[in-house]
Amino acid sequence: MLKDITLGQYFPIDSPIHKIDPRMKLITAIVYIVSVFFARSAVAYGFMLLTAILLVIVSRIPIKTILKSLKPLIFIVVITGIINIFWYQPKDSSTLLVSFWIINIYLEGIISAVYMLTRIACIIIGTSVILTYTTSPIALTDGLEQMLAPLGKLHLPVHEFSMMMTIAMRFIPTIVEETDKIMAAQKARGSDFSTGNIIRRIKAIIPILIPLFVSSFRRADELAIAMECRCYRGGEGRTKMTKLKFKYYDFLWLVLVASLIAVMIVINTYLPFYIV
Amino acid sequence: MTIAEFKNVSYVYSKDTPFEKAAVNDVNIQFEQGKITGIIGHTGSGKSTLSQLLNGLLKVSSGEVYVNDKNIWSEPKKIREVRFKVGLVFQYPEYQLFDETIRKDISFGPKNMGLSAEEINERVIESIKFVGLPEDVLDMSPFDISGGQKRRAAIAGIMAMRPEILVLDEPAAGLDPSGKREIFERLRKYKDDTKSTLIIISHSMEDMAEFCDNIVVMSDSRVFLSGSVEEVFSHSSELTSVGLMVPQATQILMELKEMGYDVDTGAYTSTDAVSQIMKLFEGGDDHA
Ligand SMILES: Nc1ncnc2c1ncn2[C@@H]1O[C@H](COP(=O)(O)OP(=O)(O)O)[C@@H](O)[C@H]1O
Ligand SMILES: [Mg+2]
Repeated sequence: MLKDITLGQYFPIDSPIHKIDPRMKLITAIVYIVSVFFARSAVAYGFMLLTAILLVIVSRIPIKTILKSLKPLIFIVVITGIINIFWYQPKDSSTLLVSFWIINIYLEGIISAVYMLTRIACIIIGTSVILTYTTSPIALTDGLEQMLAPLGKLHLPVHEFSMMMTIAMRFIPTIVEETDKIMAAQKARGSDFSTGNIIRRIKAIIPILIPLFVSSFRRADELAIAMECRCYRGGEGRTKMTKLKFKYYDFLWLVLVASLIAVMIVINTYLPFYIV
Repeated sequence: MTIAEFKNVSYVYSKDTPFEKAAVNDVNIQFEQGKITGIIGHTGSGKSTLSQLLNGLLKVSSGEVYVNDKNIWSEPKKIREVRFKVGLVFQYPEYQLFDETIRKDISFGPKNMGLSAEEINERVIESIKFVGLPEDVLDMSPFDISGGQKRRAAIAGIMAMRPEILVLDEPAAGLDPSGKREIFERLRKYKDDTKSTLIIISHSMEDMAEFCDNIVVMSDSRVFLSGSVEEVFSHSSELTSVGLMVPQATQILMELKEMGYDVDTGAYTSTDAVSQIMKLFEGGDDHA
């Protein structure tokens, strides 16, 4: 069933990371990605991987869940790895391991592929633990709205944008449920989504998509009217029920993550193993 | 004669997850050929789940479903044929119309059955008549006709598959009383003309009392009562105990009985109730 797909992966438990201000999480997620790119030596990559694992432990997200979220990426990761091995541009100091026909595989090529994989893994695990798993979608858009609020001075529709995001996320489960229902109804009329060639399968989707679009438009219309009935007029002069406020541990968190960059530089300088 | 049967059927949604939910629990029902069976119950009592178990859209968690004495899951590859035999009209079927014209939309089912163009055309005309829509609606877009017409067009789309059993989930939901009556009358005529079997899901006792031959009362994912309309409504006090509204006519008779009058609370149509009350008056005259 479609329902079983995790949409919006928020994991509602209690952990130190869950408590952090969503704005700070957005900032630190970016800082974390930057720090991953600072890693150059093998020790630095190892250290980054360690921090990713540490993040998972602190966030109390089950390891299984994290691994499951990585599964769809295996294909991309493998392709990237292979490309890295074969596309490696050798330097004079490179060690040739295998050579046949036009293919040369260098030790440094393999190392750089491993680095690349570590980087991808760290970025995915890091951002998902810092952001998606530990921040509710609503908190995230709230944080985004307040962060981007200054742009409103430039007449950019920041509030409208975040309202759109909130509404979109609110309706994802509704639409999934509706899709299930329409699929069942068309199956009852003999639709077959699981056999036949690609063209037949694509054709079988049309009887689902059209009713889905029609009802989405209808729902959007109804929602717009309902909002107008409650005098919704956009963001101007609108106040918040819960205003986000930075606390001391939000800054502590920022310092902690930002210091990773310094740690990377120190490791690269003093433990420069296998830099490629 | 029994045309379809549930034997110890249970169904669990989202099995082995934290959201596990038993929607149908050890259900036994026999549906008689050529009869109208009503399935009544509260929202969430498992009626819609039952309907989807009958045509194989959902696979039983345990137990067996028989259609024409054949276990529908004995050959899982042929489950599509079961869906043609047991036509299911979902709740609010008007939201599933999708094609450019009503004609094409009604043809969708027969086309999936692999019928010839002539045969399809014949069935489209036949079924549009059953639901009482004028033929010129056929070439209109499903998005240009009224809600009631859409509902009927959607029902015609299932009738066109000529199922042996037609299952309708809340066919009258959201219709005004006259639209309701018309749908039920057309369905009865359809059943008489085609000699097929009808199963109607509803939570309105009134409609079911007037329209069905047999009734199955679902409560809390189980069969609470089943039998002919007379049998089921003779248990009016049990029905009220599980929070189901008995027909108003029965309610009045029940209250009269409580007040000490000698009436038969098994009556469920207004005509029967009136004759019961008239009898009281006649009896009263004797005393006077
Ligand atoms: N797709 C589904 N996933 C999980 N639970 C469901 C699903 N559909 C129905 N249920 C649950 O199963 C129970 C029976 O539902 P349903 O058969 O729709 O009842 P009814 O049609 O009598 O209102 C309800 O408690 C409902 O919440
Ligand atoms: Mg239902």
